[in-house]
Order: sequence, then structure tokens, then C-alpha cells
Amino acid sequence: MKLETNFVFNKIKSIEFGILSPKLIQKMSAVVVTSSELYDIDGFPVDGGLSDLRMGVTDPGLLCKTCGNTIKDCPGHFGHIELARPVFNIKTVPYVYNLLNATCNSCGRILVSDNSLKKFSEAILSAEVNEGVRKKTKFVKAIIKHAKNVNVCPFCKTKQQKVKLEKPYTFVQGDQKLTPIDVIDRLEKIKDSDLQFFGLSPDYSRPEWMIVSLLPVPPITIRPSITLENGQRSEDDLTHKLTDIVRTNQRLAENIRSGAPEIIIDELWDLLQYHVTTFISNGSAQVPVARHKSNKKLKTLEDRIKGKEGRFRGSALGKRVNYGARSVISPDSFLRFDQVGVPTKVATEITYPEYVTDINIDRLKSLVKNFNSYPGANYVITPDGIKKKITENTVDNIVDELKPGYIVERHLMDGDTILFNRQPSLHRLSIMGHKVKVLPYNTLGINPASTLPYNADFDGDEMNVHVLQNEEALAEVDMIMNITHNIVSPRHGLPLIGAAQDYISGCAMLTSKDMVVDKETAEFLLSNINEVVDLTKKKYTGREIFSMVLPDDLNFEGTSTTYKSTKDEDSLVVIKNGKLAHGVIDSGSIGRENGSLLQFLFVRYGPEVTAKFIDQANKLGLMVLLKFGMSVNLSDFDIPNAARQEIEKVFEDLNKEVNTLTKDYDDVAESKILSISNRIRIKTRNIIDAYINKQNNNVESMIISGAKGSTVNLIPTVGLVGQQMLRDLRISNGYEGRLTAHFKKGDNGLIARGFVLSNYRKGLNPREYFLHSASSREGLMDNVIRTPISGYMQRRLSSALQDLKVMPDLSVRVGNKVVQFLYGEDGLDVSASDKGDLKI
Amino acid sequence: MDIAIFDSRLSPKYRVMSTQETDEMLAKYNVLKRDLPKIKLSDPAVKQLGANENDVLEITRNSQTAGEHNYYRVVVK
Repeated sequence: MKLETNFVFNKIKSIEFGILSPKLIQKMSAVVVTSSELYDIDGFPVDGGLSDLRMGVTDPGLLCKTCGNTIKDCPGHFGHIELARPVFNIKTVPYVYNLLNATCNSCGRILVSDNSLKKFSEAILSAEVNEGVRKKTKFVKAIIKHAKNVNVCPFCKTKQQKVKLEKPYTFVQGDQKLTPIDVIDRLEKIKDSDLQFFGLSPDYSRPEWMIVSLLPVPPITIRPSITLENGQRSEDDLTHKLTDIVRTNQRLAENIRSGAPEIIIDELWDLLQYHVTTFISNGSAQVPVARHKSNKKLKTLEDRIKGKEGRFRGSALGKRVNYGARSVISPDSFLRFDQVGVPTKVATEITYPEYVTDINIDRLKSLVKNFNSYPGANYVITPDGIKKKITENTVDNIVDELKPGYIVERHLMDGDTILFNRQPSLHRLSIMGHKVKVLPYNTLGINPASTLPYNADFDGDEMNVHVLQNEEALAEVDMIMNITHNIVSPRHGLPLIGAAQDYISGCAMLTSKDMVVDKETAEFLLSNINEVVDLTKKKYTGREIFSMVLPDDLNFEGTSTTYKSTKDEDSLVVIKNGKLAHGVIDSGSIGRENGSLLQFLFVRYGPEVTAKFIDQANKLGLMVLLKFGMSVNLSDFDIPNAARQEIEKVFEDLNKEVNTLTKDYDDVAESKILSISNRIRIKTRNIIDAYINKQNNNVESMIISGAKGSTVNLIPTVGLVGQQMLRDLRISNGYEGRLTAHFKKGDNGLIARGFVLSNYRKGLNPREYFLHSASSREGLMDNVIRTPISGYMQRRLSSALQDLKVMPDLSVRVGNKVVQFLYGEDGLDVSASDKGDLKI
Repeated sequence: MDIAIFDSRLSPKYRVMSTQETDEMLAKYNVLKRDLPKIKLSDPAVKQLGANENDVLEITRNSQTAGEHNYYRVVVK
């Protein structure tokens, strides 16, 4: 069978969905299934059983009795079961219900007058042509709704008795139950010309076909049986369900033939209905779930199609890849930020296909020889495309025959380019190119500096590695996707990769005004960042040390986070000819989403220089902290008694104001009280700012350098926690007229409505702690509720915009359609600009 | 409709382009008329201008990034 001959070169104009008619089921059926036995004593499929060879083959070697092909070419063929009594199809019950109630009990016409029908007919037709199927469906629904409420047939004038649906599949009219046979009779009366008002068509979907009288049996290829290791056969869930159906059907047929009492027949009929229902869908409301002996749910036809693991989302859209690895990530500051620490286990499993050339043949030969350890190779592909596994037995031959033109699938090695990804992949920086560093661990190592674009942390996060398999992909990743090329964000033009926390503290400490290190320390610092310098002096200032990682011709002036809070001129960054003249290097220069120096370097010197600088600066900061240490003390949160008293006085004064307001309490007073509690917080902040010890205080130094924390965090820690709120209001519910038993009824003062006077350093009393927990819980709940909502909004937005691209003429288009004539209306690449501005 | 919509400060400047201008613009962007953004004939701005189907409007809008920029829309039914 040649593949090319099977191509059909026609464009699909439209698709019509319909219902299989009993006629068609019979026509496409290769066998009538009558036996619930699957195999005879010799283990051969029984004729007329559910594994009948006419329905296709799943065992290698056997030939299909219908098409004569083997397992490879036989597509499988349907069979069918002739049900002794028809049953409802659970999925069509709602439609049948509509049809029964929208058509006449006796004449079967739709319960809409002839005049209106003509109008509707035209409307439906024009709606489908002009506005699409969706509009048509709307019309259909409206007509059905209208017809359902008509009580007298406009054609034969019969008074209508409504049919009630008792879920899941019992129709009752008056006090009489409608059997599937009765329903078929009713549906057959509906005229072909009335079907269009129900969205049906006489050719593709006659309503009576909605009731199952012939059950199609899917080919065995769809429900293959598996032979277990002990030789036992295990059948597919569908086959299990079908045997139930066949067995029940047989018993029903026998009982009918022998004239058994009505009750027994009805009981079996119900059972058959249940089995057919659970064959199609195993989760309908009020239908007991069919289970295995092990209490596992049976997988039905619906389960195969529906939902996340169904055919569409799971198989058709869910792409799985080879040459990928996934593991927990761990921080490793000794990796470069563009590296990934790959476990040896992974590196020996995942390979890169390298072409053998005259230049690399010796190296590759030694890798092949070393196949059973690292670094080695797993497979060799000959120029004819034959893949050979390297084993103890084949090594020698393969090494001998290896010559240019062969491909060696060698282990991952240091410096290989890979793709690194963390889900959810919300923006393009969620997957970037990194370099491999093979390490003897079990987790993927990543430098903390590159966590921000992935939004990764190390509380158990897992990330994925993809190994590229050809030079073209490799080149593309190295030139475009590499993390060093994406240091600066395309969103706001600031670096996403840079120093954080310890790195900033360290660099700020090193470049502070009076930092001087001796020669030994300088040697220690510089040797750790691989900077080769002749040290001639006995002492070096920290700024001299830092200058050694700067490009020699760099001239830069910038502000620093330190300057913002200290207003100390000395902390303004000035770099002349690669020397840090003065200034503190902190978050403002090298911080992520902040550092102007990084942004400047990236635009002026390019990715390589910037990447090297980030790594060296980070390492330098780390080593400074290692050498000099940095810890916090409880006394770092001390403020003098005078300050304490000032805060207390602020509270007392303003509390008096509140107390006068509560005497005449209303909404206006409440909003005034709220603003007062805000004023207390602001005044407290100012007092803390004025009094807190700024020298030799590592908490303060972290705040000043922008490494972590802010003065906002200091208010509840050393000052007072302040007003606790629920839904932007002071906490009000609890006991009748008061929060807890600690307060008087109707007290609307600060404390009585959730103002916490204590701070974290001193500790909260139980009452305060309770109220504080109440408002923290609100925050947690909000977070849980909002995260999925905003996540889905983001997903819809990116799906809507994913096809937009910027053309070479800087216009934004989808295909050829223009969306914007000049990208961003100014044609600027944000990542190449200075915080969105173009500085020339 | 006798509201002077163009008097609003929120309304951008609209102008019907001549055939020659249109051709120049299409050549500049290497784009076909049908690939341009569309504007309905029933749009108040089109009505006020008295533009016809297939006319191309030049719209001068205020821009946060560029100060002012031009946009082109073809009138469709």
C-alpha cells in the first residue's frame, strides 16, 4: 500500500454530522454478534463472538476474515448486535424529550401553526447562510421552546398531553410509561419537512434513529485484548461492557421467545438499557457507575473522547516529545546563570546526534568505545539510516566501520545547548536556551539569578529540559532564544536577570564608602571570579575590587537605591574608564527589574559582556558575604524608648479623636475613622524612619541597598500592626453588636474594631492575633480564588494574540492582514531602548 | 444624526484619501486593500465624511508612544 496514492487533493467545504441509521449500521457491519463467548477451548476467536476475526485482528500472524490483511494493514471492521428490544441512547434523551413535547401526540406534526412555519423556515435558512450555524441553533431552540408550550395541535386539533422525563431515561405520559418502542412509534410519525425546525435532516438524522435498535460493535482494533505475562488474556473495558450487553440481550430474547411474564421481560429490558447506557457513558447523573471487580471505573466510549485526557485535549493536541528530561530544580550559585546543572543519569540517557567528520572522528570513536560509562555514546546511525545500538558485542565492529558520514548519538556534554522551560509558559521567556553542565546530582541545578523570568523557586518546582537534535535548531536557539540574549525584558526594557538578595547585599557592602580589603582578601575575592590581576598594593578599596569586573572603557553615571534613602552624594554611581569613581553598586545598578547598569551594558556591550558581568558581580557579592558575614539580630528591630513613647502618643491623640467621632457614629464618621487609622500608620512610619539605628544594622542595610524588605515591613515589625480589615472595612462581625466577648456592645472605637496596637517584635495578644489571622485569611482566600481566574484571562489573551508578528517593515500583521502600521506606533524595540525611551 | 462627532476631543482626525494617495500608501506597506483594517460604511465617522465603499480613510490618532500616528482603514459594507 503506497501512501501517496491515498492522498485526496480536495478542499473540505463543509462537514455534516449525523446519526447512524439502523440501515447504515447493518450495511457497514461485517458480523452479527450473537455469542458472549470470546474464545473457544483452543483459544481461537468464536464465530459471532466479540473477538470474531471478521471485525479485524489484533494478534500478529492472523489474517482478517473481512479484508484479508494482517494487523498492520487491517483497519478493523464494525459488527453489530441486534437488540431484542430497542433502548434509549443516554446522549440523545434530551433531544428525544424535546421532540416528544414539541410534536403532536397523535398526528406527529410540529406544534406550530402552518403560517408561522413558513416564516420560520425562511428565517432558519437565511440565518444559516448569513450568520452561521450558531444563529441557526438559536432559532431552533426558540422554536422548540415555543412549540413545547402549545396545548392543542394546530393541525389535527388534538389536545396535547405533555410527556415528563424522569431522569435518567424514563418517559412518562400521564400515568403511563413510554417504552422505547412507543417512542420510536411517536418519532416515526414526525414529517420529514418538520425536521428542519429541530435542526435535523431527513437524510442524516431521522429522529427515530436516536433510539438504539441495532447497536454497532466497534472493531477489535479499537478495543484490543492484551496478553499478560502469564499467558492470560485481558480484555478491553469496551469488550467487557459488550459481553454484558450480548449476554443480557440473549436472555431477553430467550424470555420473549418462551413467553415469560411481563415483569421478567421488563426487568431484563431495564438491565439491557443500563448496560447500553454505561457502554456509551459512565458518568450520567442517577445512573449507577459500572465498575471492575477491583472497583475501578470502566472506561466508556465517552471517556475516550471527553475531557483533559480525552482524544482531543489528550491525544490530538497533547504533544509528547523525545529527548526531554524533567526534574526538581535546586539552586546552585556556582553555575553561570546561563548554565543548567544536568544530572549524569540524564546526560547518559539523552543524546545529541553528531555527524562524524575528519575533525571529530577520533573524539567520537573514543566516545563510542566508552559506551557504558560517561561520557560515551548510545547509538550509531550509518549513512543508510540504519540505527545500531552500541553494546559489548557490537562496539568493536562499530568503532572499525565508523567514518565520516556516520552519526554518533553521543551523551550530553558540557557546553551543549538545551532548552529550559518551566510551566506555566506564560511568556516567551518561559523557555530559553541554556548550556549544559553535567553534575553528579539528581536534580537540575539553576543559578538563582535566572529564576525570575521562569518565576521559579526551590520549594519543589520542576522544570523541563529539551535537547536539540540538529545544527539548525541549535543555531536558532543560540542566536535568538539563549538566555543571555534575553537579559533585558521586551516588556519594560529592564533586566530580568541580575542580582538579588545576597548578591546585592554583598556588592553594596563591597562598594560602600569606607570598605577596604587587604591583599589576601582581594586575592580570595578575585580568584573566585576567575579574574587574573596583578595585585601590587597592600590594601584595596572595595570599589577598586569591583572595578576589576567592569569593562575597561566603560563610562556610566547612574543613581543608586542607597541614594534614594540616604541622599548621600557619595552613593551616586559614577564609572569613568572602567573605574568605579564613587557610588554604591546596589539594586539600582545590578538588581533584577531595576538595574540601570545592566541595561546600559546590554545595550552598549551586548549579551556576552553583560552575562559575564552579571555572573562575576553576583559571585563577588556572594564571596564578600562569605568573607565578612552578614546576619541579623533582634536588636536590629529596636527603637529607643523615646520613639516608643512618641508612637504611643500618636495613637492616644488620634484615638481621642476617634472616640469623639464614635459618639455620633454613622457612615461619615466611619470613613473618618478609617483615614485616622491610616494616619497613625503613616506617622508611625515616620517615627521609625527617624529613630531606627541605621549604622551596623543589617536589616536597615538590606532595605537601603534594595536587597530585600522595605520600611513598610518595618511598621508592623517594630511599630504597630495597625488596623485589620475585611473586605476593605474594619472588622465588624462576630458576637452580636461586637467583635468578641472582650468588647462592649456598640463600641466602635479603634481597638474594638480590630486595631492592633502591638507589633511583631513584642508579640500580639490572643485577641489581636485572632483578628490579625482573620484578615490574613482573607488575603489567602483572595489569592486562591484570583490566581486561576487571572491565569485563564492571560491564556485567552495570549491565544488571541499568538499569531501577530512584526514584519521586516515594522508593521504588525496576522498573515497578510495589517493590525498596526508601525509596531507600538513608534516602531521601537523596547528591549533595545532605555526604559521605553530611545536615548541617542 | 446631527451630532458633530469630530468636535469631540476624543475623536481622532479622519480624512478620505485620494486614489493616488491610497495607491502610494498600499505600495509603501506592500499590502492589498483587502488586507487593510476595515471600517463599516455604517460607522458614524464614515457617514459624516460621506465616504463610499472601498474608500480608504487616513486616521491621525494621538499616541502615547509616538505622539501622533497614522492609521488606514478601508470602508466596507
